[in-house]
Amino acid sequence: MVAGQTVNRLKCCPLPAYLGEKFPKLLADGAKKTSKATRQYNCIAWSAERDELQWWEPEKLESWFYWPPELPPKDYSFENFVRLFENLGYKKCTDAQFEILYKKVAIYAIYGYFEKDKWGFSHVCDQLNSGAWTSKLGPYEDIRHNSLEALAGNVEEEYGEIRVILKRPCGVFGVLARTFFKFAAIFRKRT
Amino acid sequence: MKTLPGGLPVDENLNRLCAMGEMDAVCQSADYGEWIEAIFKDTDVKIERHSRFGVLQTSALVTAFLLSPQLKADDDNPTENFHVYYMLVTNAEKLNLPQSSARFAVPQIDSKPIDVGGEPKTKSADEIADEAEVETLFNGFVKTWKDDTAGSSLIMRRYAHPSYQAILVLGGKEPHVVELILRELQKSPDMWFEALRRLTNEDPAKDAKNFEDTTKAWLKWWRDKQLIA
Repeated sequence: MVAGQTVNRLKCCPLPAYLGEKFPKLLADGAKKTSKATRQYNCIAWSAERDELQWWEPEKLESWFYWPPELPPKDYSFENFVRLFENLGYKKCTDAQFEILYKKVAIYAIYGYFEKDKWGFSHVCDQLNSGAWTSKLGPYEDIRHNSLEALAGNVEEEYGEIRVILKRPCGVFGVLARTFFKFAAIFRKRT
Repeated sequence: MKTLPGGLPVDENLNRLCAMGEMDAVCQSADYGEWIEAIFKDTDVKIERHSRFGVLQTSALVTAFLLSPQLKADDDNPTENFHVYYMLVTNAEKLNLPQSSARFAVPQIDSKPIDVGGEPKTKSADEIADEAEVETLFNGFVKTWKDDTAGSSLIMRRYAHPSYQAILVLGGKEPHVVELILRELQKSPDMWFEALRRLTNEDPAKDAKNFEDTTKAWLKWWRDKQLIA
């Protein structure tokens, strides 16, 4: 199988109770579970390439870890994680507002998470064509959530602050899909 | 006045650390390093400064114990608990950590591979009591480690956690810990692979393609070593 191949999908299911405890704001957000729990891949693999087969991390701590060779290995600085997405065509932008022409990712960080007095990468999620967000929660399930704030904070396992938003053009198919979702949302509101 | 084996009164510093309660709060405290150094002042324990994770690695072992469930269950007398821990898990040689790894700080453990095979032998009452004590410590470290890091997206943070490192120190002194880890891996699969590699000097999963393969390879290695009764 190759990176990007889908092996773990579920239709949207109710959020497991334990995720509601670890991320208390997810319940009010209306988040849904979209995969089984797995340690095969992490949030970086998921949001970067929809890779469900490898764990992405700067240091190859296990034989099945992967980090793009063009990026510095063993570098856990926040900048290295931002660079990963910049190398995939993303550019920093100012907000997470839904835009029909662009796909966005949001990177979370916690102060002092890896190094004292520095922000450390804690999580990344990306925007779906519907405008909702998709996150792989560490070794737990993938979820679809409606706001970035649902995972932000410092309670239990929340991921700290949303530090960087990046965006890239989403291609013809992406624009068509986003347009469809946009009109569908307008239609739903009217009815 | 209660003292550590080196004769140092420690109540005040230990109580201040214990009162903080949360691992992150302790490790990020501006006073943390100074407190730990005060605890070990005038003993033959050297504090190794290592800043990659914003903690002092040696003191991280102490912190892991301070925050462990055993201590919380009996926190009226942290010094006595600490003394037991100190005697059981650490000694001056073990705590003086020459940092040789560029990757991340790990306690030095016996380089001699642990013999986990062979015929089971009859254990004395003392050995059984020691093993029970080690198991209690081990379970405390596992709980703290999982509570603090289970949801982390990056395994480096999990391997570098003080409780994980404390398990390495404990395993370097008590071979029984390898079996405890393998039992834990079987019961509740998790990232035990770094600890198993370091404690056994073996890597049966070096060609594994994913988490499940790695888990299976270690459990097969365990069966092959006849550790399952």
